[in-house]
Amino acid sequence: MFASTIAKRFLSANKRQTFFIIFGIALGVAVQIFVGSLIGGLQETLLDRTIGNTPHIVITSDSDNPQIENWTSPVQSIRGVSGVSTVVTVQDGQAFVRNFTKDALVLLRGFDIAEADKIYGFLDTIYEGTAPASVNETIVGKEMQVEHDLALGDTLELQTNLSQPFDTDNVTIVGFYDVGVAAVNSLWVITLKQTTTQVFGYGTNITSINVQVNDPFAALDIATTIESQFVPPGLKVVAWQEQNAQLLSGFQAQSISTYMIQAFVLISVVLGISSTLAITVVQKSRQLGILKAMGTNDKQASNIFILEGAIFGIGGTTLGVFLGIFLFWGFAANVKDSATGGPLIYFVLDWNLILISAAIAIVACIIAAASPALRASRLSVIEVIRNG
Amino acid sequence: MGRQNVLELRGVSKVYGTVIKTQALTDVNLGFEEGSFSAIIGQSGSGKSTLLNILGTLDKPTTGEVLIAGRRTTEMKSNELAKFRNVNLGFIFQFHYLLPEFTVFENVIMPYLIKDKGILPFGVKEQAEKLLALVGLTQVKDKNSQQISGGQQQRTAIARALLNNPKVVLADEPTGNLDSDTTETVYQLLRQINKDFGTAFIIVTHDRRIAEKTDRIIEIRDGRVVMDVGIASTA
Repeated sequence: MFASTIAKRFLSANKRQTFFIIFGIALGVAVQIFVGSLIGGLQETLLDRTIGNTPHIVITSDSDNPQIENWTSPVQSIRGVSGVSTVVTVQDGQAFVRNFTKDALVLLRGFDIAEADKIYGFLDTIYEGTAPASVNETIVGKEMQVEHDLALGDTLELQTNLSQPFDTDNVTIVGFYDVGVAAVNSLWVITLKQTTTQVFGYGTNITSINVQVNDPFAALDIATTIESQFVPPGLKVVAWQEQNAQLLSGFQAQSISTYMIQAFVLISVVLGISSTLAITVVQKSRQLGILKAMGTNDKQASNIFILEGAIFGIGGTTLGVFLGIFLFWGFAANVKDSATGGPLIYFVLDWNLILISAAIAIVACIIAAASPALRASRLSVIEVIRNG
Repeated sequence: MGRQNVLELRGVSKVYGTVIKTQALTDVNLGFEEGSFSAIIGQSGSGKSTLLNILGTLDKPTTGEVLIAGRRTTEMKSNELAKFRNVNLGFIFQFHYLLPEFTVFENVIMPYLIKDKGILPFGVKEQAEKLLALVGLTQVKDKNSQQISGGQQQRTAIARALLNNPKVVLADEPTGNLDSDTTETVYQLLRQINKDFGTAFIIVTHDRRIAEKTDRIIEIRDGRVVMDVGIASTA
């Protein structure tokens, strides 16, 4: 109470110095939050664009025969695995489109459309026509439409067996989709399972099980669990990380550089506060001498500076949090993706990052005050009086 | 029977430095009674300020004992000493030593803020107002301590030294940088307080006119007491 009275008065007596210190801390905290949010937001956006609309775990046959028999029981078990959000069964295979003049190889994929939409989000991307609703109806991607000049109602003549050129199945285009990935748009012909059963003659067998999980980074562990406990031999289970090692190491490098930037900003803030408070102790040594002569004990004297550190820390951090969020908001709102015209990153606040940054900054400010506080506690009255 | 000694030095010596030693005080034995009014005189460098600092427990003697209100202060730890000083001693320094961040009134109540950890006990405010009236500063009590004259600052320091109602007030050149009229006013004030409250005063001064108005003159030369005249009675 006494120490806080003195600390507050010392700070308010020199408002300009106090303001600059608080502003300096605020800038440091703001940079930390801005950089942290930016990198976090960038990673989240990139991750969402890369794997948001794809399965995180894909289970396929490990042999030459792509068909999976007796899949009902494993699929049932996988649905119950903790962390799994969606399980979709697929029947697919390659086919030639006999009435295409070039690039005639396509991937015919049969789904339960409503179920598959939970992973792939096709329904929202259909920009012309409707989703396939009955057998032999199909939707194709934007690139395929442009390349082959297709229109609604056009027929694709599909040939699945090279040795039997006259054994074809006709499917009708009822819609066009655009998932934003050219490789998918130009290759996938999406239809109902009833169609693929008929075209490939798989019967009730499927060719792959697609799984999406709640936390994409847990996919590898979940894949291991699934592989060891729930699928019969002869099937392979692949998590997205195994096919995106470069993306992951990029994320890791980005995170490490973020931590480095944050650490250096923190160190400079701490050094700044510590040296400023050390100067303040010298500036106030006369006052400290008087206070000690009147009975202020060493602990009270050091508490004055610890409290100054805390006031700087709390004031600077509060201001810095607002400033950092404002900077990030400004960036997210104004910096656009040149390709799509949408925001380059989403304005999503990571409160964990903000709270941790704020807590570390406040603690660092108090620690920075420790050495000046010790100096204040050791200050001898007699030195001050003798030196006037 | 004379009055009790409120402050006593027994065989006090002070040596500064470890390699090159400077003997600042040599075997000083002095006693100051309750309600006494004494002056310590001496030339610059004679050791009188060192003596005052040891009397005020701001400095420790190399050998010897300091007893205040019957307690050996030389054995106390730093924090215990700080508390003891707060309750028993008042200081008036030559350069006032007011806290520039605080008003006149706040400077006066500072010893209480220190003692009671920032909370002002009942009655202290009234006591401070009374002391400020006594030293004639009621008009300027809410001004910043740097916005008043040198004489007013010194009177503020006097009011501050008295607030805790200490047994002893130690004054180092209390009129050192004041003009003769103000010097006389300050002296009269100290005398009046001495009479009214029974506070013992020990005044270090080089001003003989002030010294001659006290009840006892102690002269220090080369760290020794060379003269002790007046109504003094050593222990």
